[in-house]
Amino acid sequence: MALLEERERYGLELVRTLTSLDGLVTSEGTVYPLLNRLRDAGWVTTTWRLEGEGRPRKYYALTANGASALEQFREDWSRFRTVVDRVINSVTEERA
Amino acid sequence: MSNGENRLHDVAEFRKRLGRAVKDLPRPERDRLLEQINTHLEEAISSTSTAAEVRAVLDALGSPAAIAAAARTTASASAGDPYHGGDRLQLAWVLVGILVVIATSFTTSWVLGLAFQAAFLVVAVVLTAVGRPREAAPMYLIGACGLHSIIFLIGVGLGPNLLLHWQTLVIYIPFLAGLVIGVLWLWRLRKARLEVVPA
Repeated sequence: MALLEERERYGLELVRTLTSLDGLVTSEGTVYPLLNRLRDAGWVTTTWRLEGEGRPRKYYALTANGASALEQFREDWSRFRTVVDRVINSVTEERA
Repeated sequence: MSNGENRLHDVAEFRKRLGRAVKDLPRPERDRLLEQINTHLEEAISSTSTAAEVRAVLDALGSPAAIAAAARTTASASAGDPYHGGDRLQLAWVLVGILVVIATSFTTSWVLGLAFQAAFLVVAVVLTAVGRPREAAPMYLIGACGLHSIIFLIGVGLGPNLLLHWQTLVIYIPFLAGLVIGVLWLWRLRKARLEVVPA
């Protein structure tokens, strides 16, 4: 969803961007079911467009609900990361 | 087999295997996923020229079994999602709709009753559609109008003197029409989605 925050993206573009990030996605095909789930949740919308050579592309865009969910996720993730960092560091300190 | 034939053969084989792997998914999920993968393949393969490059595209896409497993996981997770399919909010609206129908059946003016019910339906359809998939609004329309129609038919069976009055029939015509419109609306949305990209 963060990738869609600035602008809408079409399927292949979105999938390739995600898989280029090391360790985030194992195979490109598994991203589509996730996108469908976001769409079913009303967090992204899709639009078909005909591009060069008459090729259809499905564009994904973030909805207002999606933007709110992303904002919430950022807060939750930040809290989660802080807690995990604290636990990991305390274990490391105890060992030292 | 030539290089071009090899490329097509690999892609056709992949599509066949994927089709078999996702056979058990619900029809809408399956159609949507196959459509996405087909679009992906068409675009990714258009920039390749050798069989090896096509195989690299297929490898990056992942095995049909892995794609199907991911789809199954997300499909079952979505089933418990409050925004998916049997939305609780939609159910609440339908229940309120039934109360509206019962309450307005006792109004002295059938015009007022009709106006109340029509206004309720418009508000409910708009609120159901906000921030939800495009299919949500026609599905609500089908659900609400369908239930209203069932109540009407049950009413006809139980109390013909009260409910077969022509004024009551007039009140229910918009709901029967709403049911038909909802079905046609949903059918058009799904048809448009499936027709955009041929398999």
